[in-house]
Amino acid sequence: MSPIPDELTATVISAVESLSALQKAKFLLEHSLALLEAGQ
Amino acid sequence: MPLPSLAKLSLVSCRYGNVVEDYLDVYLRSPDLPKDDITRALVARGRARKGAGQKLLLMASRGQCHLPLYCLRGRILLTTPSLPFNFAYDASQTSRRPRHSTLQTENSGSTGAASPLSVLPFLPPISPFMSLFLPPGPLFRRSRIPTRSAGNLGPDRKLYTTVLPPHVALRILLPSRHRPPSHLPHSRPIPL
Repeated sequence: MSPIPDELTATVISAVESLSALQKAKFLLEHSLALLEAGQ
Repeated sequence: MPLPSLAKLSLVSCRYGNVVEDYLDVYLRSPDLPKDDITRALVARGRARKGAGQKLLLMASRGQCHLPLYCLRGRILLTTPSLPFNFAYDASQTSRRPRHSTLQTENSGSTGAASPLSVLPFLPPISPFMSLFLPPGPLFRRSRIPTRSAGNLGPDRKLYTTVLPPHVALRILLPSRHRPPSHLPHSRPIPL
């Protein structure tokens, strides 16, 4: 199994888990767009 | 011999390649997305794919990496393990209608294009059977007779980047949109 995440990671995960499906999708999109921006 | 540079190249271009490609893939598969956001995702993915492909073409044309390039129906087809999709570059479309080239490239790589082909390091010669697995993008939607409008790239064949004929090399090396088409390649990555 994966190692026990640190506190910050665990909190972020639980925060993301509490989002609705649409919000999760939105988060994924925003994050991808941010990665693309940063990469180019 | 070309292996080290190819490895380096993978590191560079895969930063976009795998992570974001996966994210956007999952995103697009989730239900009930707002249309505007789908558009944003598709446009962003198309641009990133195009940019990654162009970078590879640029490196290939400088002999910095060894890439399999194929001339297929007047288009340059690039297949490499470091891109999670097939990159098709339509020389004739881009040189004549630069504005539309982005859309052409975007459409040519659907998510389903992560078919067996994009995993193979070298694309085998495309047989009628293999073409069943190819994405239904513009490249394969209709058969094109190689005409002068297809950019004079010649018959379908494999191109060896180290010995590209000048007229093919010039078409691969995309000039910036703000410069005349006869402009010779500059050293920076091409702005999108």
